[in-house]
Amino acid sequence: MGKKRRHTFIFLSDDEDADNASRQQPAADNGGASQASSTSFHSHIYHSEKCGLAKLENVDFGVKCPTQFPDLQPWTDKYSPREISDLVVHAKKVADVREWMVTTLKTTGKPHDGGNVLLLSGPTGAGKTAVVHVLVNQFQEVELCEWDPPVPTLWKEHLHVNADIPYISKVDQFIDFLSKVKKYSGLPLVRKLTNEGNRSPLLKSGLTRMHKVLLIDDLPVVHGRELLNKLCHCLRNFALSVQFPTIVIATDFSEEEHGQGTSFLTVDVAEALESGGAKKVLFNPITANAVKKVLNKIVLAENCSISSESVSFIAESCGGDIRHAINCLQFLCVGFNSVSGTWDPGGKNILYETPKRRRGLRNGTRNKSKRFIKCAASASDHTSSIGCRDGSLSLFHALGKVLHNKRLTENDKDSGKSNISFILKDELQRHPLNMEAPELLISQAHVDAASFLYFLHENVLEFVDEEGIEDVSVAFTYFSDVDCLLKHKKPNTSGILHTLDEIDSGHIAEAVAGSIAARGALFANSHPSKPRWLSLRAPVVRQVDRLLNQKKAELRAKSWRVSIDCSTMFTHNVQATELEPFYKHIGCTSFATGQSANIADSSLSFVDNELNSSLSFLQDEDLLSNIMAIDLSKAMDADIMEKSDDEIEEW
Amino acid sequence: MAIAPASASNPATSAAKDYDLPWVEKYRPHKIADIVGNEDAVCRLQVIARDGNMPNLIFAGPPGTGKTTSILALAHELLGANFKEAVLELNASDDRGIDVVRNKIKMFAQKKVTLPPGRHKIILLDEADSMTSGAQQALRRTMEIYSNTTRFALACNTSAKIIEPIQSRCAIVRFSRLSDRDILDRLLRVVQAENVPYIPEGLEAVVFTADGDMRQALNNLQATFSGFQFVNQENVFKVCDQPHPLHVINIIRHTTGGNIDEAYTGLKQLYDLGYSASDIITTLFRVVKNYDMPEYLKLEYLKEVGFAHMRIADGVGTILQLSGLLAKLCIIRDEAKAV
Repeated sequence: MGKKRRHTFIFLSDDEDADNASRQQPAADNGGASQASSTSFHSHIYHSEKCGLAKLENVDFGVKCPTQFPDLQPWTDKYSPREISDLVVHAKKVADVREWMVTTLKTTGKPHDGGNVLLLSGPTGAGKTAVVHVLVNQFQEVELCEWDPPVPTLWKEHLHVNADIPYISKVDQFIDFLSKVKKYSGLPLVRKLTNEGNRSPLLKSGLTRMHKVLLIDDLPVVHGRELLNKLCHCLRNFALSVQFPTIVIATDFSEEEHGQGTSFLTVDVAEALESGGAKKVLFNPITANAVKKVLNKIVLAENCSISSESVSFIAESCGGDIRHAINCLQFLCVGFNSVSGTWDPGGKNILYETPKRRRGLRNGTRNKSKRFIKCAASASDHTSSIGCRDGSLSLFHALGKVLHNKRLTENDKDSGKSNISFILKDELQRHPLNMEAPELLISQAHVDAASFLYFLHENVLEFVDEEGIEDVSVAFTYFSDVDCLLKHKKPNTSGILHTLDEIDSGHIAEAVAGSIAARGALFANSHPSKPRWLSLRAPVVRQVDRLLNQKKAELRAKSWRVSIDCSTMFTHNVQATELEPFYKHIGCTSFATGQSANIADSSLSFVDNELNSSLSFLQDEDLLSNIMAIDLSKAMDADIMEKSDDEIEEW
Repeated sequence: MAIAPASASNPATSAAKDYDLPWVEKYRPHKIADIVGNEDAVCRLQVIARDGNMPNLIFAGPPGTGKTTSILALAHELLGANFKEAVLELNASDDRGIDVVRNKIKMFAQKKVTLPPGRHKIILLDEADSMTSGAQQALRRTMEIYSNTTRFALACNTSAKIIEPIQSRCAIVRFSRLSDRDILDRLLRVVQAENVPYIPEGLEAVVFTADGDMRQALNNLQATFSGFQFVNQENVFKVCDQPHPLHVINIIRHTTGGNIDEAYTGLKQLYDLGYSASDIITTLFRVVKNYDMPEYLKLEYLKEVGFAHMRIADGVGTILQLSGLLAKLCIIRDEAKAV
């Protein structure tokens, strides 16, 4: 990499001097201009060439401004991996991608079918893009081109301003782009020559020898089944016929909680591409240890004084999202680098000096437990306001307090005696709590009551002494009550009609539930186990839930196809227990003919009828059934509809 | 110093005091240092405001805790005179569909503005949780490509409504409900600045009704002042239309004493005043939460209130439920009593 030429193409540059005439100024007032330019794909592709950085723009800017003001870049860019050794992605995945690159680059130019597309999928922040950039830089004479969607015209503006230019949807633009790329693959994709003119002759000769790798990182957002099918179809064709290596990056994320139903995008896109002969590499979330290593490296490089506990807390709670971990770290370090007057950098001094915090620590009996609380508390000192994605940093703090159940043993039992005129039964009395009010703890922990409950449920057992098994039963009674309260709240909040009252009632229910969960755990645990180091576990319930939802989403995606023309949905139970085994069965018998998908899909609708007969029917005559099935499935629809009507009546 | 009215920018307001801005706007802090509560976050924001290089940020927290205020103050302190041209502010009332994100935001990100080193153009997206996931996805790439010149600040109530790829690109700053102390301090300053006649109990009542929401506290205070010209408990609860907590405290005290009759009389009075069951149960919950009583009793009381609230939220908002609740509370007390 010694003699790399520094002519990187800048696609956009509003920074001081990097800008010049060659940049295409998108017409701000005249939407038509940008619209017109968008139809020719050349102007929206930029590339990086053998540059040392993953993010291409960094190279160029690196010379000009950010070196003077080193903090100008976000750390995620500043510390993006440059060499393979910097990558923290599992080595096998990197090797997979590399191997694909080597083989496809060898065969480019020679006509062959398929295999030219690589699909990278995985959760956000798992290093998909970074791997691509780093690997491309390893190869000589490979340039990376990206698809950068043009700035569109606003729908409204376009109605008023330019009636002659039609509105083109994003998806259409993208599809158009794909088809053009496919057709004119021999042309240099880049038109945007930057800087000095003397480069261009050199470039031209250089470009023709260069291998192009196209990176599609920004699949257009699609709404509705029709567009999606169109997109998938197009991608499939593209994968079948494209002549140069292409990498498609699809980020998985669950839209479940977003309340807009499931996104079929990644699943379907993956299927479409794979059926076109694409290779798929699935990225997993990055392990906490690897994240920690990276964070520590950054901490060293930035020379910020942040406690190692905080670093490991960030690493563990980021959920394998390294970008977010780095972002968190950067924000966290802001306070430490420069402010020493208003801010206590150690964080631990606060613990011992402010009377508010001191209480919990003084009566810790053993060293270990002290350490635990200290680190939990100090971590949350730094981070109570910056949670990571699920806010688990401060959650651990709150959980620790509730579970360790610190009380003032030397005082009288029950401080609130003054307000009541009688004495409680002995077994119901407790020492006064040595912590903030449980309600305050929860509000500071930034969690919803449900997850707090699940965490308590998962961990409370560890914190009760051997003799206190009755306590556990008491605690779980309260937990079940809380669960009941929470479950009841749900239909209210997810309903369509959101009156002000309902929102408020949800808020109260949430508050009550959280408060009972915390107080229940505190009260029940009358035999707290000896203070010792105990690690908190994430609740299994959540994982089960997540898996369940995933499975449901998969099933729904499948049943979509089946029921696309019969407007009937099966319940998940029916689908999982009856349709799926059947689907598998006919799937494996008819795979040989290569029509499995169609047959299986259309025959799915029969299942309710006579499983066996249709099975043998299918096995005998695959092809015939394929045709028949379509007709029959229509007929069956009526049956199913009737059936579902019956079910409704039963209700 | 915080309470200097925003008269510099708008001289008309201070002149015509009677029709001026809502106090929420008038006393909205313009400096980060003046923001109440959440010291940890505010401290960091101050450093950012001084040093520049703002990372992409998501502000998450319940309403009325200072999210929007912080964002605006931060942008003002960072950009100063350039605020007009270097900040794009979009909130839920603006059109923020996927096309706007693609067009307006991208255009703005490409715009060239000369700024001092370490400063970036800022795109403020208030109430970002109301953006569709499609629009948020369209934001994803823009955020990354233009990170050298443009930074984003998003405000939302629940960060879970922001899609993961966006969350991953931001640092999340969480705001929690303000403490009663913080709210009271700020109210006292407003009261002084506005020359509002008050008694301490009146302010206490305002704080109680606000429940950690500064915006509501100021609104309630202003409403009480303009309605009655005097802030005392009676007026505050009349304006806010909530059952008087003192009344409710009495009911709870009677149940802990085992006097079901007296407790019921109190409840009947409240009900006859026209408060709905859900009003009463909400106040009951807040009172029980803060009532000083033994741990076991509090836990059981909360549980019963919770279940009663659940039934009422289901639509069974009759006095029957409430009186049943009182009876249950009395039973709990009897069972817990040492013989």
